[in-house]
Amino acid sequence: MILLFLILILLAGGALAWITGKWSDLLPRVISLVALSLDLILLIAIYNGQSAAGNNSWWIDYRVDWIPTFGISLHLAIDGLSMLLLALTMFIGLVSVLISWKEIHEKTGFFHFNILWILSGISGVFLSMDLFLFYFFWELMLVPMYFLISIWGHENRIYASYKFFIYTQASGLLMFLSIIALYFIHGRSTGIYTFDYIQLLGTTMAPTVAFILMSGFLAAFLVKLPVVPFHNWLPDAHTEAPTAGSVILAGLLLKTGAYGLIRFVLPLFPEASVTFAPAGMILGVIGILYGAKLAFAQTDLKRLVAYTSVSHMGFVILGVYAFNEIAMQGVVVQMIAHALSTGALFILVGQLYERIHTRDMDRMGGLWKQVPVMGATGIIFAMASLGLPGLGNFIAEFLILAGTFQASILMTCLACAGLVAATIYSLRIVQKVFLGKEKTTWNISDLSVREKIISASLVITLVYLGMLPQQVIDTAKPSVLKSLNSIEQTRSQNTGKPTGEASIWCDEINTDGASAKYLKCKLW
Amino acid sequence: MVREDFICLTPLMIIAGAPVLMMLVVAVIRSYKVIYGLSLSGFILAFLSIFFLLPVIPHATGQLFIFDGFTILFFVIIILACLLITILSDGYLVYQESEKEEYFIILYTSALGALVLAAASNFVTLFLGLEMLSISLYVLIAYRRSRDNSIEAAVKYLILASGASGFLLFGMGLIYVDTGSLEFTKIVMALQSSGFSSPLLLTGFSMMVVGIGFKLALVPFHMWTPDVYHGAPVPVATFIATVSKGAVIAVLLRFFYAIEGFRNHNFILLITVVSILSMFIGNLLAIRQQNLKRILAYSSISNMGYLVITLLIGTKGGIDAAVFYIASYIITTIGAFGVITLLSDRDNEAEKLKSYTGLFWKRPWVAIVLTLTMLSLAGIPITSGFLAKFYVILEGLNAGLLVLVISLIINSVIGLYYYLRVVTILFSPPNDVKFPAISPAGRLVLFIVTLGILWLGIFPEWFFNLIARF
Amino acid sequence: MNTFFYIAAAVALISTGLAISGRNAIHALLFLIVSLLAISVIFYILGAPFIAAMEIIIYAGAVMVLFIFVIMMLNVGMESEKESRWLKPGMWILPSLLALILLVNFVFMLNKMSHQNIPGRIIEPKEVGISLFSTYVLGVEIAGMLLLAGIVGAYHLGKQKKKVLHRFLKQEEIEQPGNTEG
Repeated sequence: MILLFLILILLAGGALAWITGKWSDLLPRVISLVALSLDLILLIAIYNGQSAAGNNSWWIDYRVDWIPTFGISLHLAIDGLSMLLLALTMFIGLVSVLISWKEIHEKTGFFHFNILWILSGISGVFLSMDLFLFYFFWELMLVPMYFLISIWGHENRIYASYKFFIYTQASGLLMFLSIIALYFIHGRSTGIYTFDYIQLLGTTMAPTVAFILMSGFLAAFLVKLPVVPFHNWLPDAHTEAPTAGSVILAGLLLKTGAYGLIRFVLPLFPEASVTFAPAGMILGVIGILYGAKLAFAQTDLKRLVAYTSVSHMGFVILGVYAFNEIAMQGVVVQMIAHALSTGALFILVGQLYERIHTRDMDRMGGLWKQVPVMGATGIIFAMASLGLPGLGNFIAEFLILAGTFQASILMTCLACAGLVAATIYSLRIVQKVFLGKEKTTWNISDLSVREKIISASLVITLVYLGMLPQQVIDTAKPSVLKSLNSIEQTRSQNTGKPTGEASIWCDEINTDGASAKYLKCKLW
Repeated sequence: MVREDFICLTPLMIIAGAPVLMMLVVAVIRSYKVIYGLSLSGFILAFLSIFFLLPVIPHATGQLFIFDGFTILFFVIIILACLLITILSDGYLVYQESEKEEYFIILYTSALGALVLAAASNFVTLFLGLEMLSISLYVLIAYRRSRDNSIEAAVKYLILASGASGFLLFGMGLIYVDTGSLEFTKIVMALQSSGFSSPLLLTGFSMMVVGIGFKLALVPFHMWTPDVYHGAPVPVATFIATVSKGAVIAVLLRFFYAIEGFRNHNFILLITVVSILSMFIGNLLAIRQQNLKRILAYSSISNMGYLVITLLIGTKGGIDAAVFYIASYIITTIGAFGVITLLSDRDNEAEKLKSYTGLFWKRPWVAIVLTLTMLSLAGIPITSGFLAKFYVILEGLNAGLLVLVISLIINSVIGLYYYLRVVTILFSPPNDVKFPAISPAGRLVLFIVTLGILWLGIFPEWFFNLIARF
Repeated sequence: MNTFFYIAAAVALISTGLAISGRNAIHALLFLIVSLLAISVIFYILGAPFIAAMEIIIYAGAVMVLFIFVIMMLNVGMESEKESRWLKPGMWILPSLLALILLVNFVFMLNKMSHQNIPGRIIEPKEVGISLFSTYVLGVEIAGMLLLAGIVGAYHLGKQKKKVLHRFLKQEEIEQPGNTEG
């Protein structure tokens, strides 16, 4: 029940914000803050109430029938991974409301309605244990996001919002098709027609069928993530969205794709995933390098930051398909760290835009003199983005690379090249914006107290993640193991019969969870 | 005639009696208010009388009608839709210069035609119902003669519909020659012994498909739709899009499932081609339209394309999916057309897409209703359209209609583009177009429609159960 | 027997084709009447004398009424020379010829006809009446409602109304009062 409340509070808060928006600009903001804080408090309560148990099972499992005719239930459950991502959702939500405080003046009520409904959709995605429900929430977050971009966005907003909506909807429908096919395959073999994730887990099917169904899921998740051939919507959507929209897009929406991979694709289609893994890793590396290259080529600051997301998300898919615990832990940390650092960069861009009304880097330069505090935070976030030790991204990328190394040395090397590229583009931001020669003389003010609070909270979280990641890793551990379990089983069955695709791939026989690993890598 | 016959015919008798009564009243005193009140109460009465049918179904009245759960469901859908259209018409007829009373008489006869179709179990009733619907519609389309395109639309509909009726009748004749009966059940029996082998029979069925396809505006027979929707008064366009199509779908489903057309490969091919063409052509042509009525016309073509998928499913689930789909489509379409109706004024119908620019900032609630209907047509969750599409996809996959299901999905994406266009326009910065105020009755309609869309979209279980029970 | 049918069918097809392609409404109607007569002959051949009679009484009769209606509605006045053009032999000679063929056909057929060479059985008016008022009584009722719809609709659409003009045209009306009718 408490899980349902998490979502309902946001939905109700959204509705309330909209209604009160008629009377005052302040009320919707306050209502949003209250709703989000309330959710955050609930989450902390759940976390504290549970940490004693700390086992493999779900922390809380809530299930009522929704449409029993089709075996659809309102099944929500939370575990470590969901917990982390939900906490992130609420945190990013709070940040988005705070940064919009001065940016959004028109239709405040409707704006906050959209924010809260997106967040509730995202929370629903992280909590759903029923595939139909999952798809329901998956789609639910699109519409308000579409409004957010198309109403409050920048010049080219209509085009961007169309592109965003149609890309995600098209890929989502493919996933939907796969979900229904899975429902029938499971129903026909067992006689139980259900969309319940846990019951569908052990569905057996022919390898080709499994691969086709997995492709449906992958379509949705890879577009959302995004992985390179499908990344086209992202730069437009991120660039044209208002700051809060960009922050939510980069910080949360992309994470739903990664979450879907970990939660659904791997456990539901372990064999097909193993087959796909080499391709997945290649896609990841391409994403890292190509995203970084494009980021470097941008002059629009916001677009640059958008492309860094493509690059960072390449690490996520690389780590997911490395199939070991270290890499997967890295993926979890990367999800959080990327949300914070990229979100922070978007906020920075937003703050700059508010002051100088341009995102063109060629017109900036030498801003440090004017806004030293902003410059300092900017440097911290840029450093986070390039993976400086001590900040969250470093831990994440290190873990991913360490994990991937066990899987494929070549891929790891290429991904490391991506880190160098990250350094280049991150430093370019600092160089072009804050340092260097002053191109235009701007007369602007430094961060206000509100902005300082936002930036400080982000910096603190990033540093905390970089210094003490153990808590995050511990929380995510059972979920990560759960996700890897089926893969391990499949692979241990397959040992001894090397396939053609295993050339990049290395077979590993896992004897004891994460620690002792016997590796036999075959590179080309 | 036995007692059950009369009970079963009550809704039909009420719907048939009301226009006669109205005519008599008009002869004595021409009062719009009285006629409007009569027509409201007639539909309400007819709706209530359906409850008396429940204990006696299934029941066949002679050879002409069959009253079973399926009939009842369509009766409910048709009568409620008519009720909403009546209320919408009231707001619209304010601008009619003279003689508003006949409108309701003809609306009633067309509703009667629709009900006859829904209960038809014989070619005689099928044809009579269809003709009654068509003839009433010719008049309704041209009802406001002073409007620019009314007469043109009516003549277009008249000529094409007569042609379609000719085909239908010819097809029925050929089938009669081959099977020796006009009754569905007897035809089925004849078919079971002989199969579909006879070329006469196949020609007959194909001709019937032409006739029915015209009424449903499936693709090779769709040309009239945009012009007629455009030319007809908005409530009448609503009627054509909802009640008329719903009734035809009802009889088509009944007939097609009775003859088990889904087992015949000729039919499978025919329906598949028609369905795919309807989806693609409807959606692709809608993309460039600048007129909301035309967009809805093309959208109805593609929606009927989705709907005929259910013909090939061939299980009870297929029928249930069709009923859910049509219910959802009707309520959504009434919402969309309802908004156009309520925003129309004397000289202009609010049909140009441009005039909706920024409606959200001027009339937030109306814009939300229109947005919801668009999202429902596009099949986005929390609206009924999503579950309707889900149901069709589910049953379609279950029956192994992969090609159709995939083209449905591709078309959902194409469709999304122009539905989003409407939504985007609603939320753009406002212009200075003024819209008339909306009457409380109009608000009630929009409220009911919104509630319906959301209720079916979020808590569909009761409706699924209802459909499954009948 | 078949020859009679084919002759009647050919007449029906030709006259219907001419009815469709005819430029003048009234001539088209003449051909239509011939076509209906031909169909009535076909019904007769098939052993349905009642329907054959109805075909003539109702259709041909109704068409005649329609004929008059058209003349009245299109009453273009002072068209006596038009009237004389209509009555030129070229106009009525073809329909008459077709009708004549039918008549000959019909007379020969009556000579040759007997119950044996009628396919199927002869349907008496009584049977038609009985089935209309027992099995199909509801159908008749519905057909009645259908006519009601037609009548009310015709009344509404056919009624001479005060001319209501579009607001853009009203201006014009004031300027050129003579041009607005039609």
